[in-house]
Amino acid sequence: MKDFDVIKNIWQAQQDPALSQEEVLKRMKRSRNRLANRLLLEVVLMSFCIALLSYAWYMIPFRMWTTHLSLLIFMACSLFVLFAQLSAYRRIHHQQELLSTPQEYIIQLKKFQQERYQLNTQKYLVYTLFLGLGLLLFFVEIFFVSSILLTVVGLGISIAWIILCYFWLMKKYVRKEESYLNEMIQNLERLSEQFNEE
Amino acid sequence: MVNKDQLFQEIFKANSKKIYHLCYGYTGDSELANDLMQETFLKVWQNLEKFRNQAMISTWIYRIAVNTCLSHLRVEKRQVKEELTEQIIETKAEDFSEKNEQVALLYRCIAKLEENERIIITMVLDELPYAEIAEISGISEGNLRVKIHRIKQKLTELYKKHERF
Repeated sequence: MKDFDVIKNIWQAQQDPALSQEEVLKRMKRSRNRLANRLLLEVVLMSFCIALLSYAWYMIPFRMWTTHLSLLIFMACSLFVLFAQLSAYRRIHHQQELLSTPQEYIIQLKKFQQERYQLNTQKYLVYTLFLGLGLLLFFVEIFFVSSILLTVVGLGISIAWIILCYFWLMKKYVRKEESYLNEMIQNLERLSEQFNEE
Repeated sequence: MVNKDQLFQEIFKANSKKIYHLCYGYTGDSELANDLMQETFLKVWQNLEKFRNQAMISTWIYRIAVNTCLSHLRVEKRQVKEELTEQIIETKAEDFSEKNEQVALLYRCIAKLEENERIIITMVLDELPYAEIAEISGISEGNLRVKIHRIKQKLTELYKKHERF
């Protein structure tokens, strides 16, 4: 008859894994640097986009207010992405909730997942709509300074891109996020029940 | 920085084995357990300043480990890994000593428990005081005793059942 003491003996006789703190420390520092580098790269790329837009805005004498508004929208979109990346990074590093009890942590995870879903889906919608609006406004001036053919082709491609983003890519993305959220919530609720005091 | 490294090494030395056991018990997979253990210690490293004056540092580390495990909710992946682990265990059966086989079987039985049961039983097996387990899991000591009694019975039955095959 195997009773719990026998199980305990088996557990205590297990070979301990070869854990080297130096190796773990090295790997951790590497992964921290990787994360910082990735963030840095994203920030640099976005800053480059913003600089390029600013340069074009400053150097090219646009005549119509619609173009200025479109450039403003593009820059706001870039800044929005930059801000979202930075706040996501800050959130990853702000880990106060890690010290909560499992019950509290599960509640926070649920909240975080719901916020992530809302932010990702709304962010995508806002981003697509504003970029589309920016493109449309930008083509107003193009219409006056270039040939009709060029304007129609440019406008056609822009509208097709917006339609593709809005009706296909976004719906696909929202469906994926929704199923991920539902699965996470289901799991978290199951965990929450397990840790509840009976 | 040297002090931080030194402090971290002391903490790692004192807690890593038990944290690994907890992660292994939770995931049923040694590689994944290693990843979760490293993730735990990464968070410990990042928050080391906050721990400096904590009396029960191991309780906080356990909490981080438990929460890290809980946030690792990739059910499908886990099931695949479980199957894989079973396959590996079967194929490499010859290499295993009887003792290792018993340990592997025990981890497989733990993997069949509910998530909170896995967490609690690994702490019990590593002989953490009940008061500390209660503090880590956020369950009152009275309730915890009842839970532990049930989990012990469940695990013993599971082990006996699987040992026959």
